[in-house]
Formats: sequence, structure tokens, C-alpha cells
Amino acid sequence: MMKLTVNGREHAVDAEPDTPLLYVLRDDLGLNGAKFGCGLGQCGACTVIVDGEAVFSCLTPIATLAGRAVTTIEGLGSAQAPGPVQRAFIEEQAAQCGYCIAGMVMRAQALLTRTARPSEQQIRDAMNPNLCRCGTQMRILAAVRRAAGMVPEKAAAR
Amino acid sequence: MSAALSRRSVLAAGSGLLVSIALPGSQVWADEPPLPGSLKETPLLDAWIRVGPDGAITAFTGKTELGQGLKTALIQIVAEQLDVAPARIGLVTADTARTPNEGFTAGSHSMQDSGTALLNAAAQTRLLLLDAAAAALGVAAETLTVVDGVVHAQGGATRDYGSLAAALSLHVRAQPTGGLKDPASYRVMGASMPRIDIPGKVTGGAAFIQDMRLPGMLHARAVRQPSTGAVLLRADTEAVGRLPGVVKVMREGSYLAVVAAKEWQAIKAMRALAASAEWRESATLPEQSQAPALIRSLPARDIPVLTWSNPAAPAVQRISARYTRPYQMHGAIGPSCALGAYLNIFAIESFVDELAAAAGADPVDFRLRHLTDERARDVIRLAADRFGWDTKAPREPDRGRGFAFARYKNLGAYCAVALNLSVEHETGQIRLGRVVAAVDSGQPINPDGIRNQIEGAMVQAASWTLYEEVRFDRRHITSTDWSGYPVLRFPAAPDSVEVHVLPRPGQPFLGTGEAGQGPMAAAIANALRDATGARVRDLPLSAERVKAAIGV
Amino acid sequence: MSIRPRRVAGIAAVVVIGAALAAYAVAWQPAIAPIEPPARAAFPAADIAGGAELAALGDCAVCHTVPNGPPYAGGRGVPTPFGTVHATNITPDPDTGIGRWSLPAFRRAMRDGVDRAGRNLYPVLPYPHFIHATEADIAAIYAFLMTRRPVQREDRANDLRFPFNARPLLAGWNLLFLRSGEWRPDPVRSPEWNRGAYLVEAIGHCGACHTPHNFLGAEQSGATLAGGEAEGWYAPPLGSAPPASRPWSADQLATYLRTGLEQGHGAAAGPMTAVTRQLATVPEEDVRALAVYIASLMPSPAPFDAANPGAASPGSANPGAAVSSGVHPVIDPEAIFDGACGACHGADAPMTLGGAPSLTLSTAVRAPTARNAVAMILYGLPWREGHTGPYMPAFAGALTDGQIAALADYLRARYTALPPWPDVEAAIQQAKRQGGGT
Repeated sequence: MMKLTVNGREHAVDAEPDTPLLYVLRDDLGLNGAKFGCGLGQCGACTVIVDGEAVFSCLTPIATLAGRAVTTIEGLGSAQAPGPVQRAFIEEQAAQCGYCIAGMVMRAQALLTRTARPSEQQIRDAMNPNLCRCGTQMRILAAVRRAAGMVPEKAAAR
Repeated sequence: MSAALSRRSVLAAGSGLLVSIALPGSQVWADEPPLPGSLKETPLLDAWIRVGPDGAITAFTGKTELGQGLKTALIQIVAEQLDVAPARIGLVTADTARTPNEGFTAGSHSMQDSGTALLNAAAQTRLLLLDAAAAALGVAAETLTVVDGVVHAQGGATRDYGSLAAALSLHVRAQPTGGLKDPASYRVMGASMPRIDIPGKVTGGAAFIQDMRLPGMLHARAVRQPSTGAVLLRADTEAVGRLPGVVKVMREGSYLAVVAAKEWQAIKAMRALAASAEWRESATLPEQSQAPALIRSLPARDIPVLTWSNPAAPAVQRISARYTRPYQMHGAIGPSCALGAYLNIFAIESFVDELAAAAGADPVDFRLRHLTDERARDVIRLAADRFGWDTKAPREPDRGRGFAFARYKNLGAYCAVALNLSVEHETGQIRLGRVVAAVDSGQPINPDGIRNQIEGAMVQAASWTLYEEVRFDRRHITSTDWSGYPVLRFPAAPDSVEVHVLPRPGQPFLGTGEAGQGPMAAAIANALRDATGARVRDLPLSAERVKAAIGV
Repeated sequence: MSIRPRRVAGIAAVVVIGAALAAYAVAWQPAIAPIEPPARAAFPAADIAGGAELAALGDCAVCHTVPNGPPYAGGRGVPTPFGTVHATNITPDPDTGIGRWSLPAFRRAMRDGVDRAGRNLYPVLPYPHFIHATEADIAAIYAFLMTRRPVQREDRANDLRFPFNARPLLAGWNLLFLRSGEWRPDPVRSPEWNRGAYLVEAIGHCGACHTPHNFLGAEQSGATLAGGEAEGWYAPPLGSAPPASRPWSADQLATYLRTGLEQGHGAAAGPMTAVTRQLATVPEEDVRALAVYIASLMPSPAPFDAANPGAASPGSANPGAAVSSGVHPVIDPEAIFDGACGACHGADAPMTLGGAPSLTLSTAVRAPTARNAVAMILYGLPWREGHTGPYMPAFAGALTDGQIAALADYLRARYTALPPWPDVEAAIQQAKRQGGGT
């Protein structure tokens, strides 16, 4: 049995220590926000936050999480009461199929906690680990800018 | 029949009626005109709309929400035509037990097929409800109004849909026309209602088949063949079968898979199985750079799509060109969508620019000169105008602008794209600047939904056009993960993208989901030519290919 | 009696200052007159094309371009033991670049380390290597640079500690360390070998990283290509036994140099990433020549026990055991490896079948220092927009320092029979100070 702290709650999980966090979140804790996209740390659909850092949950074995705080998208808010970053994504209608979006929100959350008013280049570089195949990048960028309280209209040329 | 025929008698006529209508200038048909959209295959109204005793509306569609905004758009249609608040409508999508069979959700057909069916079904349902209310209230149907599912008579009496529906059968055949509201009165259709699926997706709500959990569910992983036609010689199924949590190892011929209680157990077992597997490989793939030539040398049949000739004066100049693209893959992370008619439009719209250049004409003017469809011309003018297309604007080195237009499959939405880009001379790397599109989707249901789709299409096509090609050596596909199949990431997204919707009130819905990709590809190639003088006809327009074309 | 030390000190000071002044007087160079920026038509196309290849072989763009910045416009800071030197703008901009430099001025910079105005340049510019280049090659590089896109960008001031910020002292440095003379081929060797030798010594300046430097920052003569460092990364020896598990063949070296990955050895990381990207643009026969020459310098390493690659050396920890780090909870490096690394680096992983080398063969894991291995765990290998190539995710946020240290020790013990690294914790701290990215 391993102890995990997720979204402020402690859970006892019956999983082997080398199990990546992604499968524990989804299959043991019923938190389906983080998604399997590649399992190789290349697409970011599994992105969650550990101790303030955005990480690939598909490559983070639970053995590394003793005493560390895990935050998933479910911990930022709900459809009825979305958190600030989630609200920005809703306001910008920043989703198509939505498969990448939980990872995007978490990556953005980690960025904005670290850097309150990032430049356009900083946002793009910070979001680089996360892929979107539907082409929703422009709205995602607009949502990050909006969540940062920056001008929501056109992006400045880099 | 005269136009004064009452609604009731027409609607009650049923399927055996022979209708003969003389319209000015048209032929007389002996048979019924076809029903619009998917009503053709599913003509009964209650297959599409049900009204509950509490006034709740249930609508049915055989299409599915992929993130294209389908559910929201269909709800808007039903809400508008039924005069019911959107919140009152529950939409059932793609359920083999409950919804019409509308085939695949693909090819940008959902609005044309399902949207049109629901548009008419909802409108005709409203007529039936009004007729029932008229009878119950003893007034003429024309004097009634509806507000959010409640019918109001001029005197103040009301009847709600719930109580009306209890005495009404919707198990009747739809009619080819009738009952549609005047587009000028639309308040829900044509408004950018926020998508109902987004809040759940942004907060971790279950939205994908991967999120389904069934009692006693197990997890499986398959071991893929290393190359086409590889034959599995041996694999250590015994030992893997004893790994923790493994329920079964499956081997059938060369198919190899493992089922386990937990997902990670299945993954580890799959890896162990793959490590122990031995294959006999015999695939011979062509040398990657020779693949286009090889394909051209294979037996082929030309199928004329359209033959049209309009003899003109003898040619001043003949131009021919060949365009190629590599194997590309959907490379989906989650649900997948189709690639569309991307190469055809890339080729055609690049070639139109080559013709314009040979004629010494501006690319926008040239297109306007050769198109007679006014909707095409309007969309081209709108995109050019919003972009600020100015032939005489001075050129900066390594910067250019490009334009392209297409009507998706010649029956879908009209889309024109104008953009600028810069080329880094040392590397051949293209940087997309400002992208402006104009789109005519007929009667827009959700303009922001249209914009979202076209923006997405253009960014997606930018990735295909600039980067994507499946790599292979003489035996294997070597693009087995994103490092072997690079796609567009955030730093390479354009500086800005804007989409302008050209509304056509009352016009049929036109498929929009894949209308942006083809023009985007050609606009990039045309802008590359404008920036550097190099016309590149082979996709992708990778940095290497562009650098080779522009030289040192 | 007390007068003598002061008099000795005074005489010594006069001697040192006098020597420095003498050196400066000997080495002082005048300004060379500026010219009108030449037009492209002034240069033969063959020179420009040849210069492009030489510039790629010499990695000019790597130092003289700031990340995401315009090529050759300078601005990139190169860390040295003496502070940071910022590369200059070498685009042909007339005011902020080299647009007004004549060929003699350019040649003097490349050979003598003196700019058009007569100032000494820091040997971060590898002129001690370029001094051996042929006249024709210098002229070709000049033709190439003078036909690039001019970019207006002021040079950034260097950030060097006293007395290293005093350029005239470099005249003394040159007197001590600069060896002149055009490179001469070895008649008993093949043309390909000689081409490779010339490219390594005169253009590619491999020794600038792969040769140990003395305390004044000059390459140690007699230790050519015996191993060095670059920007915090360990640069393995090329001229003697490398740490690789098996010898490099010329074919393997050529593959590595052109693609950044070789299945029997590892991926290019740190500063080598940029070098291999440049070499991907250079004619294959030149990369082959480099590989032939370098392979000829490497003797075979000690016999490699292929049957037992993971054998633990006597006295080393059992790789399977959990490691208690004392302060932190027990760390299970095998579980970390299986969950975090196994997808790509496990014996059964798709990556090892497709491309990523087994860590048994990894040069980084076999190196005498943990620096490269921990840097790769922390920062991975970055995406390169639009290009295929080796990629590795970064684990800097996912794993704690203690977990990385335990993992590094585990890799060393599991995949080699070499003694444990002595410097794992220090290497982690140094890598974190240095930051990621190339």
C-alpha cells in the first residue's frame, strides 16, 4: 500500500511502487482528467502538478511521490465552479476534441504560478511540451493570456 | 394544389399521397420530392424529436460530438425551430439503440445531414403542436405565438408543449418543406452560444471512451508487428502469463496481446512479451525519396470526375506542374478526424497561383476573374479585405504573402485564406505570421463554433504542410513516436489567426469542419513563393526542402 | 635587511610590467581601414557555397547566434572560467557587424585574434585553430559571411573579472600559446584522413572542448584531444581511450556526427547537439573524413564483457536494493527506473528496438564523471521544431535531487562494472546552477 496526497487528500493506493501516477489517478482514484496520449513524455496529455512543477504523470512512478503534493485538474475546480485558469479556457472556448486540454490547463497553471505575467515567447516555450492535434493552439494561448490578466485580444508579434 | 391548402391537411396526408405541384418554370414531378438531410433515411418525426409530459424536449442525432461543437449547434437548431430554451433540450447522440443511423461522423457532413434533418423535424413538430393548441383553444393557428415551450393565444390563454404532446402523435412522416421560421427572426441560431461540452472537458469530466469504466473491467495491450507482414516465430507466452496480474496471453498466428487486471501490469507484460518475441520479417519498402516515383509507376486507372471544355483562342503559354505529398498520418492523441481533400486543393490552388504569375496578374484578382459563383467571390473579397491584401505594398526581404480559396468538396463551405510569413534564409525555416480567413457556411448556427473549426483546420494544416511525413527505411516505418514524426508545437504556431464568418441567412448548412485545410496549405506555398521566388510543389515544405530551393 | 624584500618586489614589478609592455609593443596592431560593404556579385558563387560548408563545419552560427535570434547576429554568452564572453555580430551590417571589414581585416581576426580596430579578441573565438586554415578557406568563409542578411545589433559587453577584462593582456597570451603555420598534410595518410585532420584541427576546433585547458585557458600542448569540458558538460577524450563500452568505428562516428545519435554509444547532448545539427548540413564526405580521422586516434578500450554488461564491480552496491539516503524516505531507484525510464530505456522498450541505445552502451553512464548523465536526466534532449531526432523528456521537476542521485548511482551500478561516481551530488548541483538547454 502506498500513500499518495492528491488534491489535498491522502489516499492509500494498492499499486506497485513503479506504477506511473497516470494509471493510479485514472484507474485507482477515478480521476480521469489526465489522459494517456503516448506514455513517453512526448505529448503532455498526462500533465499534472507535483510540488508546483508540471510533470508527465505517465513517467512519474508513485514511488517518487512520498510526502509530495499532487494536483490534478479535478483539484483546480469543477464545471459548476471552475478555477481561474479553467474559467479562462471556457471563456475563450479553448477546446475542440478536448483530449489535450486537461494537460494544457495544468501546464498553464504551473507557468502562471511561477511567472505571473509571462511574455508571448515565455508562454509558447512553457507550453511546448504539450501537443494539440486539433489546432486549438491559438485559443489555448489566448486562454493563458486571459488567465494571466493580460490583454485578451491580439497577441503581440514576437 | 394551391398554396392555400391548410397545414393540417398536408401534414396529415401520410406517405401514400401523390403530390403534383406546378411551380413557375419547373418540371412536374409525379413522385414526392426527397426529404431533406437524413430525413431521407429516417422520415418519422419522433425518431428525431420527443416531447415529454413535463415539456422537456429530447432530440436525437446519429452523429457524435468530436469537439466540433455538434451537440451545441444541434441544440441551437432545435431550440430555435421549436421556440424552446436550449437548457430544456436533451440531445442523444449516436446510440445504436435510440438514434437514427446516420453513418459516420466524418467528411464534414454533420450539419448538412443531421442539422438539416433536425431543422425540419423541429419546425414541423412545432407546427403540429401549434395545430393541436389551435384546436384546443379554438383559435386559428396563425394567431398563436410560442415562448419557451408555452403556446400563447392573443386572448391570454396558454397551453404548454407537455400537455399538448400528450394528445399528439409525432409518429408521422416528415414533409419535404414547411414550418421553418424566418431567419430574420432567429435569436438562437446564428448566436455564439458557449459550447455545452467544454466545461466538462476543462474540469476533468468523463468525455472519452477511455474514461469508461465497467464492472470487472480488465486492461489489454497488443504487441505490434515490427514491419508489414512480419510473422511471429516465438514469444514467451508462458513466462509472461505468470507475471503479476496477467489474466491471459493471447497468441493467434502473428497476433500477440496480453490482458491483465491493472493497466500498468498489462503494460509491463506487453513489454516483456515484446522483448521475448522473435519475428521473421520480409517487408521491402521502397527508398523513401523514391516513393512518389514508385507509386506513379504502379498500375493505375484514371477516373474522370468532371470533363468540361470551352474552346478558346490558341494557347499563348502552356504550363504543367506536378505536386506531391508524402505519407502522412492522423497521429491522433484522442479522437481522430479525416485528412480531407487536402492534397487536391494544395495542388489546384498552388497551380492557380502559377497561372496568375504567368499571366502577370495579382493572385486575388486572377481568382475573382475566373470564378462565377458569387458566394466564392464574396468570400475571397472578404478575406482579402480583412487581411489588407495590397499587391502594390512593398516587399521586405524574406517575407511574403499568399492567398488560396476552395469550396470543400465543391459542395461544402466556401473558405478563403490570406496569410503572411517569413523565411529564415540560413535554415529555410518558415515562420507563419498573420493568418486571415473568411468562410461561408450557409446559415451559421454558431459563428464562434465555425471560427473554432476553421482556426483549428488552418493550424492543423500548417503542421501537415510544414513538417509531416511518415519516415521509413527499407523494412520498417521509423516514425513510431513524435520524435520520428514531428508536428507543430506552440512556438511554431502563427503570430495570429482570425476568421471572419460571412452569414447567409436561411441558406442550407454547409460542411465546415474540413474546409480550411486545403486553402491553408496552398496559401503557405504561395506565400513562400512570394517571399523567396521559390515555387515548391512537394510536401512537406520542410526547412531542408525550402533551403535547398532558395540556396545559399 | 628589511629593505631587500621591498627592493626585490619593486624590481619584480618593474620586470613584469616591462615584460607586459614589451609584449604589448611587439604584439600591438593598428586599425585596418574600413571598406564599403561589398555586394554579393563581388564574390564567386563557389566561394559562397564553400564558405557555407566551412561555416557549418566551424559552427560559427552556434556561438554567434542567440537562441531564437537572427543567425550570425551575435549576443550569445559563452561561459568561461574567467567570466562570460559574448559572441559578436558577424553579419555584414556596416555599423554593428563586419560589413566594413576587408578580407585582410577578417583574415587577421581569424588567424591572429585581432579585430579591424586593432583590439585583441578573446580566444573563445578559436583563432588558435583557425590560424592553421588555408588562405582559400578563410576567403571562402569571408565570402559567405559578407553575403548573409545584415542585422543591426550592438555587441553585448563581456562580463569578465579583472584582470581578464584587459584585452592588451591577450597579446601576452598569444605570445605564450599561439602557434602559427598553415596545416600540413601527412604524406603517408590517405587524402580522406588528411581532410579529416585538417577539418578537426583548423576548422572544427574540436580541441577547444575535447582538450584539457591550463589555468590560463589555453589548450595543453601534449594532451591534444585527451578530454575536456564545455559549458559544464564533460567532453570525452577523442585522442585516447574514450569511456565508450566499445570502440567507435568510423561509420559509427559519422552516423553520430550527422544525426546526433548512435545506437552503440548514445545521443549528442549539451553543446554537441548544436554541432551535430550543423554537421547534418555538410557534405557527407566531409563528415566521413572527420570520422575517419577521429577513429584513427582512438585505441581500442579494455575488453568489454558483452555477456555480462551489468556486472557489479566488487564492493559496489547491489543494484537491486533500495538505497536509504538518510534524511529522506527510502528511495527505490529500481522502481524509479522501471516507471520513469523503462518506457524508452528498458531492455524491452520500443525505443531500444527502434533507436534509443541501451544504457549499457551509454558513454554518459560510463564517463568518469556523473555530470553528463545527471544533466540529461534533469534536462533531457529538447524538441527541435520540425525535425526528427533524438528526444528525451526532462525530469527536473518530476524527480527530487535525492531521487536523481539514487537513480544515477543505480544506473552506474546496473549498467557498468565501473567504480561508482564520486561526484553525483555535486554534479546535480552544478547542473542545476548551469540550467538546461543548449
